[in-house]
Amino acid sequence: MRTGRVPSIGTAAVLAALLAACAPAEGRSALSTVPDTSAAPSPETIAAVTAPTIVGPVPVQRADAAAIAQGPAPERLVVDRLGIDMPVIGVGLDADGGMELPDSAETAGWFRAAGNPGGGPRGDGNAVLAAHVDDGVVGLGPFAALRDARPGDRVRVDLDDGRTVAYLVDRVEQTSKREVDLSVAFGAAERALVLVTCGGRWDADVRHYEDNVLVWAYPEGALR
Amino acid sequence: MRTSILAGIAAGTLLAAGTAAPALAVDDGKAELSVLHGVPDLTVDVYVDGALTLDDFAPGDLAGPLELDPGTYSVAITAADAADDSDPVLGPVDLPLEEGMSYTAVAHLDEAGDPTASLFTNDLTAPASGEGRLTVRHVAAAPAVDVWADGDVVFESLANPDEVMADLPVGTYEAAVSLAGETDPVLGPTDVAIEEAVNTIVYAWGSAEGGSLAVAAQTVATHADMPGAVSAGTQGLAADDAGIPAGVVVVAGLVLIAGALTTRAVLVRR
Repeated sequence: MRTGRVPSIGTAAVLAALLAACAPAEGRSALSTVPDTSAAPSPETIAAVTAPTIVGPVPVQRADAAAIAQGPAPERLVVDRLGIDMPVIGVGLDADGGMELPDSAETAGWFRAAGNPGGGPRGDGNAVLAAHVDDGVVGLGPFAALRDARPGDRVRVDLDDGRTVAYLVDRVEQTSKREVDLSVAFGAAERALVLVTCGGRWDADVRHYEDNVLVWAYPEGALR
Repeated sequence: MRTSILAGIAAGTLLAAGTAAPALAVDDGKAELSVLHGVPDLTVDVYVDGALTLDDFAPGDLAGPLELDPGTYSVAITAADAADDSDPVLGPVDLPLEEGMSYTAVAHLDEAGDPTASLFTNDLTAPASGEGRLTVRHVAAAPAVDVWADGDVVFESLANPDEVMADLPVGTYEAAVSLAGETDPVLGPTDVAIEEAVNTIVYAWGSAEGGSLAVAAQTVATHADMPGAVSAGTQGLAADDAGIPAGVVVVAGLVLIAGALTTRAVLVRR
């Protein structure tokens, strides 16, 4: 009986160490400086008094309770052709300034401070969903299939209000983490859905992959 | 330990990983303006720089946001049946709008019940990860109020036309407004959702005397700190190269250990 337990305890300890080992790559960003966005523009940047004409119709809505209700959030990601069908949870930044990720490769994280596929005040921004490509429990996760994505693959994001938003894959990018421009993926207002994971060579010394794999998809029916 | 690992990474990597980009909440080179109508019982037209911009604008309506070139705009509010802006009921007022900023112009009653207009600047600075912002603005013909959240006073003695704000963990709060120093709500309680990197702005508007006190709300996306890295793998199982991934080594090692233990167990049992 005692002998049966020993390997399982050992497994748990090793797995914990492996999961923690994802941290080095994130750790790099701890040394970065996040630009201060709080500064107001200096007076020199203010244009002289101008009187441009306001163009087009002005959207008007009731400023009622809808604005203070909980907005929709993604709860499931489905890519039929790639066999991806996984839960999604909201995430923020980890302690090192990297994107927080669910421990399990079978759950995707939705970066709440970027775009919201369900609309609302962050509805114009790109939405980013990321998941570990593998973990110590399940081995390869669903996102390992991302690099096989092809233009035209249909991606579905189910929202917790019952609605579904459909996207079509536009392109797959595999880029060195040294060069990848995350600011566009997270910061642009293209209403894109960007699925992110890791790939490329495994650097066993620092225990991280050398590349990021990004799948760019756009709302079905949107002109591209 | 992490430090020693980091020491092995080239400086260039550090720089590249440091491109944590703030997402801008207002388009480059623009200012953002919303307009809230908070004068009860008065449907109006809104003229901007002499041009009819909002026709039949009703109390409780929120217009915008408009992306505007920075500059000073002249806004006049007239009765809804006016032919032009020569006889405004309010204004004209000058609204100086700065690049990269978000504003809400509110037509409302002052504490005494006379129509007035206020230009509020919506705070777009990035809240901490996991937090959103709550802004409360008193634009009602009513005395100072206390603002409650989940049963506690969070803002005391807020008077027309002032605002208060706080960053709160993401979640839903039960909010209410009472007259300052009192406990009976004059507005609410009502659920207010605070979402990440969103400034939820709640207005108390209308007239206490006229029995028209009401809540209006708008949400504005703030700036947000974006991640400097996405480190999305832990095992090396998805690696391109042919090297044996660490996960396999570990599993093989565990099998060996388990095998050894099993063997030992068998020996012990004998």
